[in-house]
Amino acid sequence: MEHKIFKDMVEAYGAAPARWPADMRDGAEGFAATEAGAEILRTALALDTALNLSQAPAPARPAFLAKLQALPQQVKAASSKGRASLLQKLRWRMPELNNWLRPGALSAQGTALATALVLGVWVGGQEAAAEQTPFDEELALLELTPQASSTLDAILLDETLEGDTQ
Amino acid sequence: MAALVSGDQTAYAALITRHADRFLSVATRLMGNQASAEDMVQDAFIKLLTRADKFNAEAGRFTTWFYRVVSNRCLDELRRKRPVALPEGYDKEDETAQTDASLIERDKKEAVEGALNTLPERQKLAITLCYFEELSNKEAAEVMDINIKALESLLTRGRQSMKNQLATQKSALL
Repeated sequence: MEHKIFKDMVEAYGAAPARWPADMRDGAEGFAATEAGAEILRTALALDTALNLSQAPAPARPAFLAKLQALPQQVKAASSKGRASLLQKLRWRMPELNNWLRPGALSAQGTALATALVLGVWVGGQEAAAEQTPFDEELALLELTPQASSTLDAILLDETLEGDTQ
Repeated sequence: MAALVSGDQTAYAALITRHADRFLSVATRLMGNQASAEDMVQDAFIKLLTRADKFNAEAGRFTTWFYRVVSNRCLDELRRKRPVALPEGYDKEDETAQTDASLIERDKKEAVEGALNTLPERQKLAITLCYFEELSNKEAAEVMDINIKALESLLTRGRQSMKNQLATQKSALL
């Protein structure tokens, strides 16, 4: 085997003969025994050693395997109804959606939402009342009692007249 | 596969038990995390169930064909997604409880993973298939739908790029 062919092969496949193309392996092993071949292997081996540090991904989780095993029934159910709906696809992706969308869960979610809404309106009303200023209260009083309103009008009229005469 | 096409549930269950790990492994290396990888593998299995008839047993092995389905799904997703930068120090762990040796080891592993993750997708896939999944050059080329010369070119450029990156690391891996 020629020096360049061996070098090109090792640069692509690394230093381990097991990874070399089967049809080149015999010739390559012969060249690897030479000094030039050993030098090329030494360089490639450093990168192979570094690559060995890369952690193998964790095996599939049992829950994921169970999800895959359940796919045929889901695909069958969807195809019997025609094209899979968006909700169906979401259910494949997130099986927990099935729990959220149970009738019992839906009514509980509805009750919680209604309670939150009522509480929100009540708290909002309380805060609005607390924010009223004395002047607001006065205005409210004036609007509610016609007598008080006419008294204030009379006072304001007197003050205006006095101002004009001065 | 013939049994699967005819709707045999046992054949499908056996296929999952025998092969799910290897497809998840490739997807995890390509996607960079197991959660996304699970989504990609699940999509590929849905495709298998709905279009099992697309597989031509005479044209090649099932695993080779399905590696292609999974890796194409991952590459599509990676091209669709734009990388989201995490805040600085997001994945920093508490280093006080670790020994110097384990820190050095961890640094080296991180350097290798980092160098792998910066490779262009197809170089990364070529290295994953040939190096980590130990596919033959013929099988890897078939999965990637390229000829062997093109595969070797991807492998050579990928390894060279990793070598250059690791050579600049403080951990002096090379």
